[in-house]
Amino acid sequence: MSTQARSISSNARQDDAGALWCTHCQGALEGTADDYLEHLPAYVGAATEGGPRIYADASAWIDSKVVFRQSYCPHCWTAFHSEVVPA
Amino acid sequence: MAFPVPGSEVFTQRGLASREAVLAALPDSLELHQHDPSFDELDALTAEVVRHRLWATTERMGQALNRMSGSLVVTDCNDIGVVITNEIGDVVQVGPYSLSLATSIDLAIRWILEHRGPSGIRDGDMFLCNDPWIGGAIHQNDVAVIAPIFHDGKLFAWTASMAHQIDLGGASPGSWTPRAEDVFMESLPTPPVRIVRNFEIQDDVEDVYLRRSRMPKVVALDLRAKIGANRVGRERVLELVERYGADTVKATMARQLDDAEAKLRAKLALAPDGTWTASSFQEQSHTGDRNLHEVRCTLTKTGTEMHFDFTGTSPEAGMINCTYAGLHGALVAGIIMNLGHDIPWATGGMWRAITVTSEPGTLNNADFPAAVGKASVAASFCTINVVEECLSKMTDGSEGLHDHTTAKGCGTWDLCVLAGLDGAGQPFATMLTDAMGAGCGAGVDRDGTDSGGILSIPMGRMPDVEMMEFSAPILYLWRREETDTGGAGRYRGGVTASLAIIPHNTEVPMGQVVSGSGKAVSQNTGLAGGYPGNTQLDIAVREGELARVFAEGRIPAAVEEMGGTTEILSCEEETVLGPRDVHVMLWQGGGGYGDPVSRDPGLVVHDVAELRVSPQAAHDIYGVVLVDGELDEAGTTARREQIKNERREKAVAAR
Repeated sequence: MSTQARSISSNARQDDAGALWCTHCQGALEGTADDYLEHLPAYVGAATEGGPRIYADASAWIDSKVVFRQSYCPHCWTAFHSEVVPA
Repeated sequence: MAFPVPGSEVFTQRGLASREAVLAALPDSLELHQHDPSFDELDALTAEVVRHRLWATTERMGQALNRMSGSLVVTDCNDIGVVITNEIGDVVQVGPYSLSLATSIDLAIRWILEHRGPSGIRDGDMFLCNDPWIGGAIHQNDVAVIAPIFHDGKLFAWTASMAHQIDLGGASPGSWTPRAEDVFMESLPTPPVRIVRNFEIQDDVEDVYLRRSRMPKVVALDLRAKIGANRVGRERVLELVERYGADTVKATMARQLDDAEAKLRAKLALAPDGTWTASSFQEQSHTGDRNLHEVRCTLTKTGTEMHFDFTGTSPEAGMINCTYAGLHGALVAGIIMNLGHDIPWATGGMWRAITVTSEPGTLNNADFPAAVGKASVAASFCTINVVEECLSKMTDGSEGLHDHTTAKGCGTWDLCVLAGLDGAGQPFATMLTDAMGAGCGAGVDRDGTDSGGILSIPMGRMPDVEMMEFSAPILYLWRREETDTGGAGRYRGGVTASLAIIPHNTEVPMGQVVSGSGKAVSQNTGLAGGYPGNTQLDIAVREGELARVFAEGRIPAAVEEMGGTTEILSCEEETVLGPRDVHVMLWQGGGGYGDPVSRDPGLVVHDVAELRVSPQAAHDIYGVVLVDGELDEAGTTARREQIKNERREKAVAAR
């Protein structure tokens, strides 16, 4: 891990050789600065897991299914991204 | 189904013409006062004085408009825009009102110069425009009055004043037509017409304008308010010219544009080069639609320039589209909101560092004659959302700009238009604008502001309940902040509010238009692991038993206490509010920032005590255990470990 690290988000940093790691536990992350989120372990569940005031039944308005998606650091399991989006 | 209209191309602006192109199209009879680059008599102190006077002038214009209007949308909500530009329409100073509306005026002024220049633009003229394909209007309810300022016979500058008009005709009250298939079912778009000539209102033009409205007297007063605001702007600019000289004021305007560009570029130099993407969704483009429609943005930042690419955005649909002007205004509004707090709000300079790719015929670049009646709070609002999200993702990875990072606040608008007869048999039309008090997104070191407002209208205000009840035959059962509406995060999104209203002092059913997205998919996105805020919800309680509840000495505080039957309202519908019905609306709070499991447990305890977070959400999402309202530290440590273990198990299972 180089001391010339730069922040690429509040959750990840990168050294000048391109290596990425978690800001919280310093565990290594896969991918590049542009796509590291896609390499994280992720969970997909019911939209209501995104908060108690997320309406449960998207079918009241649309035909698409809506889900809660969350991705994590594979070492310390800090949430890097959380969203309520179409499946 | 919208079919192409031959000849409509002349009214379509898709990009800002260069100064050279503007000058080439002008007749010799129209002389411009232009900045002379060799002018070297502008000292820094004078420039600052003039710059601040221009800034103050936009605030005075807003106050003038506000005090002369009789519409609550203006007087209580500030859904207005004011602006000062240079001689070719480059925005030199935006007032602190609706940013996306005001910053689209450059397109309209370019159009006026090209198409009204040949017939003459003269001192004492003012042009009225509500054509979203031309600019100065995001949807037809936005009406701009645009005034040239002349000095010594030369066109020196422009002022413009804009406001949302409560009704300008079309098929539905409030000019908001959820069933619209094209613009011909909506309010008529009017390209720039000379409403004022030689400082006199032109009666014939005004008649054509007002004849379309269900509320012509209110609209007529707003017209005079905008004319008055422009006169304030004109007088103040000419006072500056008188005192400091035309060349000095013009050089200050040029410096303002240069400073905005230079300061934006200096900020961009602090951010890493890269690419960031975001999507924002609209459910239901019109009554009966069950589809989801997407505005997609890819921001590529290279050096000190930004390219916004909206490729991938859904095709135009229903009445949720916006024109290029809606995209144009939304884009720079998003930049002002994220990066512009210490940059001159001179978007004419900012545009020099920005390029755009957008495909005609898409949701935020609609062709004529697509329906665009909801544009300002549909596709244009979605454009603000994606621009803000891309910029915040960029700044989240920039140590120099990290404190500019903000999760999305409320990303939509919850609209309810009511129209009918009051107890005296007099017609009324009103719009519930309480959603102006929406929750703000969290930052990297602070919670979002509760009911803090919609950031793209910095001076937007939540209306006074008493004034709303005074202006229409309604009573509020409640307007209150709601628990758990702010997105969870290390820093919590600002909570938002709900209201419940009933008809009052009238037995006549009211016509009602309900319009609002963000009911199935969150537009108030979280950031860096933070959760989104709540989804929006509109409910009708039909044939409620309010009389019985009131007779028992109670005011209902929940839908379950109202009796009657409950109906979840769609995103776009026209309905009727009966004398014993109740309308309930919950608009959006802000998104959270960072993992909620890392939030200071003491702050969560405080949130629970203040009813911002429920004990259940504190336990389930924040991992904070309370015993008799006090923090259980050991229990919290164990619960947070449990949450991370559950993530490990669930994510592995999901692979």
